[in-house]
Amino acid sequence: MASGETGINLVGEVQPAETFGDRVVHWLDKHASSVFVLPAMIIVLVMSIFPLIVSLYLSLTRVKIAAGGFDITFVGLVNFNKLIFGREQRHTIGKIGEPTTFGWVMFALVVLFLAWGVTRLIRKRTNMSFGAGLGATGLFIIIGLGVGYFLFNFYTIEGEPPEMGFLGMLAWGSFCAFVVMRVLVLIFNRFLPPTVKGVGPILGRLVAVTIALYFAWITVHTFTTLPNAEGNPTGIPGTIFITLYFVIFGVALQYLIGLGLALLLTGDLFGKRFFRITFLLPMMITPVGVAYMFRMVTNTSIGPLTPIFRNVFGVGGDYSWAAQAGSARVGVMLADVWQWTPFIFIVLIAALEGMAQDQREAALVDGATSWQFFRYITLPQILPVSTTIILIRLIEAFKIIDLPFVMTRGGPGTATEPMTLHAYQAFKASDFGGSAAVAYLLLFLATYVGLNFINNTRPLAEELS
Amino acid sequence: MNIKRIKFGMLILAMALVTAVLSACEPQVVEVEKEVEIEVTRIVTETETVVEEVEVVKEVEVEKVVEVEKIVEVEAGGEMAFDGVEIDILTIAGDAISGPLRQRAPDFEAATGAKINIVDLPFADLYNKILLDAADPNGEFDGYVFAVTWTPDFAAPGFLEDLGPYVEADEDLQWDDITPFFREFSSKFEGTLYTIPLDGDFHQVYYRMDVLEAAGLEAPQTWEEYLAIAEAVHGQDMNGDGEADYGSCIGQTRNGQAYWFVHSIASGYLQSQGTGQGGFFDTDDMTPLVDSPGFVKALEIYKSLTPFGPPDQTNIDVGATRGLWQAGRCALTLDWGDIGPLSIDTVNAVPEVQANTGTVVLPGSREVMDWDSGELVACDADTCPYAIDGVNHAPFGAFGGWSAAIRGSSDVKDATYAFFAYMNAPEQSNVDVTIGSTGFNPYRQSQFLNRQLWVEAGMSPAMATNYLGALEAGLNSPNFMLDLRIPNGQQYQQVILDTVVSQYLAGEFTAEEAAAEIASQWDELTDELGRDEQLAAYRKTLGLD
Amino acid sequence: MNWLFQRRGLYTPSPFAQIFIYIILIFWTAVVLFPIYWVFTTSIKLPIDVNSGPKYVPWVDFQPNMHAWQKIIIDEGASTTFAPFLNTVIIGVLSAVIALAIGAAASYALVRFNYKPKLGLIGIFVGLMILSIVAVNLGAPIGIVIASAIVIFLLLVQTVGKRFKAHLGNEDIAFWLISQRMLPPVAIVVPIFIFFKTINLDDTRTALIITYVAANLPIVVWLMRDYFANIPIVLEESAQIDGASRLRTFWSIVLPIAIPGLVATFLFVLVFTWNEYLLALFLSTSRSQTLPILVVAQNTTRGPQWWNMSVLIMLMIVPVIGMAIGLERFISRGLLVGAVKS
Repeated sequence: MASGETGINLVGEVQPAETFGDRVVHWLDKHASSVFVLPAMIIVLVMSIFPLIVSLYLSLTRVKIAAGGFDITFVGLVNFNKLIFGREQRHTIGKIGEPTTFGWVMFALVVLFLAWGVTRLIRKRTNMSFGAGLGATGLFIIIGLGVGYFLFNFYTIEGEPPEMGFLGMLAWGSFCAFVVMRVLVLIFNRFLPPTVKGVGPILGRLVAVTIALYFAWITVHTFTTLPNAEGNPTGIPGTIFITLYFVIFGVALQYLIGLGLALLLTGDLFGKRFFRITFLLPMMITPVGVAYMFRMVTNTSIGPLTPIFRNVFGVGGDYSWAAQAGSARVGVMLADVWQWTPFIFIVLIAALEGMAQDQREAALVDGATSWQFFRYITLPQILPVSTTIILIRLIEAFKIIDLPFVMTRGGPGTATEPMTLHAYQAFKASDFGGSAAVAYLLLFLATYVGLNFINNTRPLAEELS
Repeated sequence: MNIKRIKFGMLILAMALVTAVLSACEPQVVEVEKEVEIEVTRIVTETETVVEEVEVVKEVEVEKVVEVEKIVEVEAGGEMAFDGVEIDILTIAGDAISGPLRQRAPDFEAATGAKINIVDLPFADLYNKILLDAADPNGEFDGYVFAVTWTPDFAAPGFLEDLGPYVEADEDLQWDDITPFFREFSSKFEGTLYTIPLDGDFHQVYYRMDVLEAAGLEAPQTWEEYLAIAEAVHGQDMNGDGEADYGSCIGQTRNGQAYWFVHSIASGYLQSQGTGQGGFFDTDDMTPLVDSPGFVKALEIYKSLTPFGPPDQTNIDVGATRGLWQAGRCALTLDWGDIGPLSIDTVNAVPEVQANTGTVVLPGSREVMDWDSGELVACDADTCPYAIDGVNHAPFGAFGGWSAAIRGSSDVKDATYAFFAYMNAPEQSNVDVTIGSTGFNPYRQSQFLNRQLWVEAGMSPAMATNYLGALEAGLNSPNFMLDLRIPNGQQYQQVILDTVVSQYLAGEFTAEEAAAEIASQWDELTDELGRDEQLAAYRKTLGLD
Repeated sequence: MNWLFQRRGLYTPSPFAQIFIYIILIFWTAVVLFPIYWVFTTSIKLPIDVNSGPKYVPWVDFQPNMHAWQKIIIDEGASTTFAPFLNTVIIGVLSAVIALAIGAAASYALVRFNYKPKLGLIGIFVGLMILSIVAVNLGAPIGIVIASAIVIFLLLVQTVGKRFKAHLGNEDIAFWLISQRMLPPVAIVVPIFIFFKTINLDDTRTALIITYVAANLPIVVWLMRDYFANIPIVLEESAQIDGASRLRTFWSIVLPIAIPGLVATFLFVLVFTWNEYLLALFLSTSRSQTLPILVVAQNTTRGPQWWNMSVLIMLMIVPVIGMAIGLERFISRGLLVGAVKS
């Protein structure tokens, strides 16, 4: 790979006994750590960082077709503003409705869970003095409230408060507060007393909690809402929350089914290989092919499942799962589960096959119950690999596009439109700036979820092991 | 373990590489900016030296004539006019449209020595691919066959070749045989000829003569009648397989053709004073016409049709409804000319459909919008000057058809033109339009007049008269409604209108809210793009300036 | 009755459990295989049989007809089908091999060396890169911009570079790599398209191979990292004591042990590339078109050509069934062990 450069570099420091090949090897060996990692770094830098920067620039511009090419105008944060607070707010974030009791119960559960998480976190970080913690939290709350209040007033137009409410503004406010304080900590880190040094991570968790709270609030106001007079729900989820729906439910189901099948297929069974190969197949089919396949199979008038729809579900010939928001989302999500369960299945099978045999035998000799066996022998061994595989699936799931685009084209309405499709729609209409802005929102969201997943599950996995 | 750090040298090397790559990309951007300047200066000099230019243009034309004569010679069996010339053409995927191009290519290749290379892409991705290719001076394709509604986006920045001189010099083309709508409106943008039509597209309604007759119903003249018929015959068995079939099949999916269907229903309400009135915006100030009782009514009818169609109607597009029509499962459908030849397809259409497909001009309305009061008013001699039996019809030129254009910076324009002219010439196209699988629909007078061709293709004489009569009546209507052809028309129709209509069908909006939402988003987009420019472009498409 | 619920051995569940297990397994087999079966039957149906309601069994419900196979393979094989097939194979295999070679080396390094890239220097690097883009955009000559950027960077490294304390670790580099997969392809496809256009590589297999290598590197690094971490370090240390160089150790000690993991990762990456649609759509038109684009192209103005599409899907599935069997072999031999332990 780098032999050309090495040849030049080595001229002059030749030892008589060495052949040219030896010299190359010697040089490479001296710089082994760089030689191993640099090709990957350079490829990723060129092929990913460069487009990333260009995309970021595009997201701050309006691109117009003009004579002789494209006319690029810098417009600042207009595209993001349009998505979050402006014309596209309803599309991106959703329409707020009146939540059902079930929605409120779910919200209460989320709040309790988050409160538990925060308490646990603060108790663990004991190196920070109480006063410093209180001060940091206070400062955080003051900046967050201030920015939130400012935003709330700024977007209250003609006495009408913004649709996402004060809590939404508070989330954005707290995000700003986080950025400000993180920068302050970075700059003044060396002057801070040791008791305050742990403030950075705490701040990060606080902002994560605020955003989670905000997401939960929007979710119950868009997904679980009371119907209006015509029987249609009052709340409509936006593309951010539809993406999260596919990611969370899709990956959870994939993991559960994949784990179940993997556990069943580790023992001695007749036809084990046949089952394993069969279960692998869905992953091997191109996603667009899978999408068309599911459209064929689930067609309610000419598809093979028509008798089941009619006789089992009793929905008759005039029903279509694609016509209702709820069933359309489930349909797309199930197709995703069908395709990607094998990925989790195969990796878990490998992990289970590799489990230490002696522990297994010892446990069985001791007469452990199945549950004990799973909890104390199997689970600790597959948890680390589980976190890796779920992270990979999470990241891929955020980019879901082929399935909804082919199966429902994002419809009915925008009920199955994830953010990638949102970006693609903007792109198709030559709104390159808007498209890049959606893509960047998705990047923030994916990074936020991915980082929080890693930060919170890795320690948990170690604890359980 | 060895603890090593990345060498600074390595970092610098990486940076140099990245910067080099970046800089390799930059000239492109800079050049584009410069080109804009050059373009502007060129336009200025052009206006100053018009007199000199005229002579040059004449010379060019003479050359063209010579070349066209050469082709004629070649076809008579002489030397090869375009020996070794490679022509790359980009179009839509599938048997239709790209199929006939592929089938006719070998004959053309044999006659001229050119090599035709047809590349096709899914419809959803075609627009962007053409845009990116046409914008590039070293683009890959010489010709495009695309939806004629896109012309403004490609022609306004000057990506496409002016075909006027070519067509004028080409007598074999029989340009005057092409019907006025396609000749004067569809293929031109701001008075310049950019495209050669290969396909004539506008909407009509098709009905099953046997089903309506059995129910004692007449073909629909208004959309209210259409709805009533759909309701009356829904659930009957129409193809003898014992299953209940559907009253009306109109695709309603998002990213399908819903935005055209909605305007086909709305056209009769919105436009009554002739083609120049336009059906999308107020011609004085670009106020969207969609936020009106007429459009709301159309939305309501469109949604009311959902229960009388196939169960997944909100998730299928026109391709699927065509399959259903051929299988004999629909009593009514709204479609382009394609249904005619598809119905007589002996392999894929059931006998009931082959024998009983009736065609009727796009239904209209007995009430039309009075734009002064903003209300729907009953038809009379003033409000509906073009009414037939008290019904205002406004046949909608949805989509406008697949047309061929040549990239301005291509270096084999003559050869590319020769191929498109070959496809468009009566000898070829008059046969192609009678074959369902080509996707080409009639656009020449001779194709309407010569019914013999259609009978030879397998249509009964009565059906041919009925089908061509309805098409001709629609095309010659003085109240024909033009499709939206202004810059960024894609965003108005295929993004904003399409999304909101889909949300309306899903129950997220009431009809009034949906109409208001479309109007406000259209207004916002118009302001973004420049209201005056958009208004000027819109007026030009209607022939007002 | 007790024998029904008694475990038969260490790895053999009781008969009752076995019945239960088989019911679940057969159910899931049906779930997996039925859609594929349906695609197969659709590929041998006439359009009219597809459109006029569900027909399940050939010869019973409908007469099989090979018209779609005839069209895709015989009529249009030479002109449309074979070239994309060949493209898909070449692009898939080459990009998987390259990604594996580069990614394996990087992941090994991330496991065995400690990297401490300084945060401040990275900031300076990115800042200078952005400044360079802006400067070039404003019309500054490229050569001067690059030269001055390098000089400034060197100066800053020499002067303030030593003062930076905050640095990243291996975990950060790894997360940074995986984060490169988070941005949806829609967002990066236009810059990449322009990039390849500028260096005259648009619509070539090379462009697609480079793009797929970059896209799949993070996956390779992440899968192989866990694997290498699990290889006992004693082996390498003893090799080094014997005087073997680092490269030699990697080549002749580490890689042979890692072969099963390499094969499994190779197959994963190959499958991803084999099936990718969006990037291929933008970076290829005629010469380097791949199979997924051909599948989507069957959705025409005449509606989806289910029969042709089914033939293409079947053509795409057959080679990967071979891969599935290969993948399974490595797992059942218990060789993929380390690949998934962290």
